[in-house]
Amino acid sequence: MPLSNRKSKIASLLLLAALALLALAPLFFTDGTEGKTREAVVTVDGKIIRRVPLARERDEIFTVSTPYGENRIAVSGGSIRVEGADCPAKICAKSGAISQIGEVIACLPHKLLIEIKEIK
Amino acid sequence: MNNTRKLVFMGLLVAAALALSFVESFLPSPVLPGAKLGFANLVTVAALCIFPRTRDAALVLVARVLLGGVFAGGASFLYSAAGAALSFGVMAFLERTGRFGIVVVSAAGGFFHNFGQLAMASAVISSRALWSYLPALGLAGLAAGLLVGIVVKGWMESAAWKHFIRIPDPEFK
Ligand SMILES: [Zn+2]
Repeated sequence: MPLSNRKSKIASLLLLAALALLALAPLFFTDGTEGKTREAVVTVDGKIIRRVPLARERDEIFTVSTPYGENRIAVSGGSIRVEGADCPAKICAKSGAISQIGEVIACLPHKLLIEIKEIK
Repeated sequence: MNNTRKLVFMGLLVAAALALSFVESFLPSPVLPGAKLGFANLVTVAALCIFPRTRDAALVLVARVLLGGVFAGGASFLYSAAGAALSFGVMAFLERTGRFGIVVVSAAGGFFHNFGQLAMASAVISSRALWSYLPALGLAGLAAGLLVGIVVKGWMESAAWKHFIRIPDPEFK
């Protein structure tokens, strides 16, 4: 393998630019979040388990039981987070709270996903 | 490179990769919790430089992923295997074209390492929503790959290393 970039600078730059553009592609599909009514959609295995409107005055805590384990989910102040879970690494709980459209919390071991969407 | 020498190199590289993965597992992921930046990729990039045949580098990678799976266990094996396989395929292809230097090949490998992990995670969880992590994870992978490429390039060009791999094999004396 050649150790320097002398072979084709242009091809190299084009490749790097294409990859950066590919990385940023999802941003072109998300639009602003201001003033829209939002809901959190909880799915397990791709199936919708629960929809929670994220109104400011609404606080609640509920537990989602999946075939793989349980997640305790807390809604408060217009945001949602996983408060506790019995998955091994607790990555979902460490993700913190989300509130903006397009934001996601995933618990891969439980195949659980919380996604913020616009209520249309 | 004779067979014994090759085997020793492969063993050393696998051990180094496992050590890197182990250290990396203590670093918090800056983007998607649980995702790794792939500094263990350093060894794969080096293997592509050291061994003339792609299949020898692939062997190092397979050993690393399998042993890493034994140590880390369970679900994360799926993600690292998907990331490693896609990243390696892309790097081997780009190397074959002969148009790209090691730094660029490594950067692309870093990008596709994270791309593959994300694709596998999306498949597991049956949702496209995770792709919203692609901007952060993709750019982080690109940056980590560039860094890895620069390190390996420096390594391969260092005088001590060049001297080291040119030590004649005893049987040729
Ligand atoms: Zn979890």
